Amino acid sequence: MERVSGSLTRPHPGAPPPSRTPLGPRRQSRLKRVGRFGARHGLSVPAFGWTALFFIAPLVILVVYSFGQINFFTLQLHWGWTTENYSQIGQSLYRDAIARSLGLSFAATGSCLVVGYPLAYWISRQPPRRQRLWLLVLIIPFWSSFLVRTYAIGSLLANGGPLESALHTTGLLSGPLNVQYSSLAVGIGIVYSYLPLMVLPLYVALERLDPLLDQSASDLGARPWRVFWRVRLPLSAPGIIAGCILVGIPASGEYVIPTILGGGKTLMYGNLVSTQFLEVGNFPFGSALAVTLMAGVTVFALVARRFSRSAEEIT
Amino acid sequence: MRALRRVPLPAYALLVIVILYLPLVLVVINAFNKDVLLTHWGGFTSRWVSQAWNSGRVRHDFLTSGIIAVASAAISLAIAIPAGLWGRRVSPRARRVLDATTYMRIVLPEIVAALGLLIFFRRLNLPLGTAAVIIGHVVFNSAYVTVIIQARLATLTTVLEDAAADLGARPWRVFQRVTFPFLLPAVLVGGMVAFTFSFDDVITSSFLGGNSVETLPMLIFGLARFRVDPEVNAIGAGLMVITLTALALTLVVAGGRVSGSLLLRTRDGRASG
Amino acid sequence: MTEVGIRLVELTRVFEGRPAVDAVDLEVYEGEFFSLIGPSGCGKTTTLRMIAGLETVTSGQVMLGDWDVTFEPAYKRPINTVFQQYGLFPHLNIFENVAFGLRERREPRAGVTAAVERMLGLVGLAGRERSRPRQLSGGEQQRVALARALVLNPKVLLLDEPLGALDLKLRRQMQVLLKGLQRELGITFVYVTHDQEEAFGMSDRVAVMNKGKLEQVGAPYDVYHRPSTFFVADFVGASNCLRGAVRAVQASGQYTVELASSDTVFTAYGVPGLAAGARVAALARPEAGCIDEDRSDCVRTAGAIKDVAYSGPQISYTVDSNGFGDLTVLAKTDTRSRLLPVGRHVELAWDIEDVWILPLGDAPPEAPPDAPPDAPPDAPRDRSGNARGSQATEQKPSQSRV
Repeated sequence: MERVSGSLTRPHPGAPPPSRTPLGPRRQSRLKRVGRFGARHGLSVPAFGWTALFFIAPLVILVVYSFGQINFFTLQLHWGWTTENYSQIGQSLYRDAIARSLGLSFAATGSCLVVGYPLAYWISRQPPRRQRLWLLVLIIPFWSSFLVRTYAIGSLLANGGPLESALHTTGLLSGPLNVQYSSLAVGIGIVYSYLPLMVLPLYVALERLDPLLDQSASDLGARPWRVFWRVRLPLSAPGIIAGCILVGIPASGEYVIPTILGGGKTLMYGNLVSTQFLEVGNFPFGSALAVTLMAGVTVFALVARRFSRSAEEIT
Repeated sequence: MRALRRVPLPAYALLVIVILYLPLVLVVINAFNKDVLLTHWGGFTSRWVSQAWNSGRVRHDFLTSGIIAVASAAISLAIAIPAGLWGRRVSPRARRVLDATTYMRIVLPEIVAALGLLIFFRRLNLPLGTAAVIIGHVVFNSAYVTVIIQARLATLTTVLEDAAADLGARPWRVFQRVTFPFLLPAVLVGGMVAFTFSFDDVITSSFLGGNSVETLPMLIFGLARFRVDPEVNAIGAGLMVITLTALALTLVVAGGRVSGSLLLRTRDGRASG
Repeated sequence: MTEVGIRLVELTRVFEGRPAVDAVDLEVYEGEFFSLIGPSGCGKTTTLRMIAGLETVTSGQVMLGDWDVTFEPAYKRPINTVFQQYGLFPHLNIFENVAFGLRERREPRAGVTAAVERMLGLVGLAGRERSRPRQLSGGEQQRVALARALVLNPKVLLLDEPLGALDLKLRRQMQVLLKGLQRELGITFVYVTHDQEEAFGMSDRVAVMNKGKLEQVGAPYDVYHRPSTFFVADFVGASNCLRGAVRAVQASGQYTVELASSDTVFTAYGVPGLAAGARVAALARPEAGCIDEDRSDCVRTAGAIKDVAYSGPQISYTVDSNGFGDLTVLAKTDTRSRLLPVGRHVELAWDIEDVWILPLGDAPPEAPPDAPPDAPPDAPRDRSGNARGSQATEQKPSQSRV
């Protein structure tokens, strides 16, 4: 192998001696500076470009549409800046449907929390190796198709289905179950589908807590339930908030679950929106609904994050 | 209240977990159920499975779903990897912009994004169809893959890339010889996650597919609205097999490390649909 | 050995408004073992990385001989680095790690194999080619990193605290290895460490940095015995500083100093350029102090022993002296010397030769603390091996009154 031949110096007869004055950043041509900027930030172009074009732009269009109006006879779109679409939302017809739908999301999220918290707590108490195992056990059903699981719940809850039979056999129920195609079924479906999304952040928050805290609370005279209520619960607040965001927000925009389990009777927000678009064809109104959902979700997320941050600081 | 607290926690946990698996088991069982009405167990038959297997429509939809999923995964990776690399080396403010756009794409209900894209395409007179569906899938898939890639990159200390540059490798060679090999597990996991999300998706596929595209979930969705017969269960079981295989492969690749990114997949609400 | 290999010209790196490296002027001669030392955060690693090309330069120049490499990317510079965290590629085996740079140069296969094997032999890892980095111990990994850098035959090897993670015994072994390799290969080494002892043991010259600025450059002996600032004195070794002021400057360059809080007046050598009236500290190293010995030409003080620490080869006495606070004196131990008890009143004395006058505070004296850049390349070396142009002002001890 050849050594790098020659001395360190490039052959440079008559090279000027190095200057003594400090050099500022080399004055570069504008083009070069743009080129450098491009080189440094070029990697972000696909991500930002795709997001801007196929995510932001459509949302902007939705907003614009929401201020327009459609003429049903000519199917022409008017570009007025009217807020009529939004006020239409306030009409009792829609308002009730929306309130009901949001109420259902809210209830489902709450139920998810109640169901999931003990589970998360239990997993966090396992020996570390086992924790991973249980998390995996939790994931597997949820890595099978979401769709399949949803309608599987549907057939489980159906009249004439296994749950009804089981309840009949044990004598807890006589007569039809009548859960199918109801708000309850939709709620159950949501809880079922989103459970891991609730359990995971809860688990993460709970796992970080020092078991010593429980012990000191007990030591100071608090009974188990009080220990939980006054110590563990507040400290797991960031996890609770994260879980509620991850479940609550998508749940409010759910479309598949209410369609399959609600049977056309329980319309949630997502269905309302898509109906306007695909069946009625009233794009402006549909957009207004969608934008309202977006706004609500954003506000919720921001508020929740602020709570979460202050809660995190305590922990 | 006190009585509630007496309920042993382990029993509760196990109960919940059993309930989680119940519907799945049911689907598989009913796929082989002779009783068309599925009111009780009518005996074992493989009729439904072979019917589904031989159905041209099922096969076609399976293929369509597969193509869309692979394309969506590939494009998502092509977006996420550069974004992740960029995010490491810029100011915290710029990084926060990236994180915000990623978070937005994950959190926003799919229906809103899908409808927005629908109008977007219509307005610009762009054709709906396979390409549109892929584009729509990439919007959210790229966000998940970005998170996965970023998680892996967070463990890559700059010393390895510094060393490579120091030893004479130009930036592209550094990526090729050092960074990418390091990223490989995350690339595979991210690809699987994107593939699975895409394969399982209903809403975006329906809205952006126009008249020409039908994916396997769309087929099931359509069928399941009216009646759930064993054949639907058979198809559904098939769909389950695919997604579970992807999970198994991912586990093999990621080794024993069940990374938090894997657990991301459970965000099935994604397909929320 | 006096050709300039690396020259830094007013090298500056500003990071978020603060200068991490502040207008550093430095020359490293070709073929020498040069160390950059200083406390954490003083800018030594940043300086090293700027030489390597891994850190951008805010202003100033990095020169390799006559070649201005300031804006050259790292992969173009014939400089290689051994990193503190080793930086071995985990997905490659040892052979491929060492061969990495050669592969970038597209060296023919036979040549690569020969070079890699030779280098592994030099660092004592022959036969480990197929292993993976994670199978090697810390010391072995460091040697692989060394081999990987050296196999490319760089003109300059940069080492960034490479021995930081090793235990004492291993460090000593590696130091011997490094010094031997440097001598044998004749490559210029620039070594960064916060361990003054390590640097002194291996280097031809050292540079002391503090808060981004260069405090002093010179041979270890000079830096230790003739520090140019208070900071340097304190960084390179334990010191006793007796405060005082310059009464007069002698023709020979010596200073007549009166110590505060006592009537002691003496004349000794010190940092050049101090004016009469300047507030100074008289540096008196603990190991040069004498206890209860009758000597002439000494700076004396007295006090009671506060603490005695016996460490085996030495005893460290802390003496609460009159007016000077706590002074430390190291005494040799042998079977004949006695252990003095705490509370005992003793007399301390330092030979005038062992006293060095420093300006008080951080401000450097008028004369620049580092080598004047115009030192002719063929500067003759004097008896003690110091190149001219170092801070060492070759002083001869003289008679003095105490």
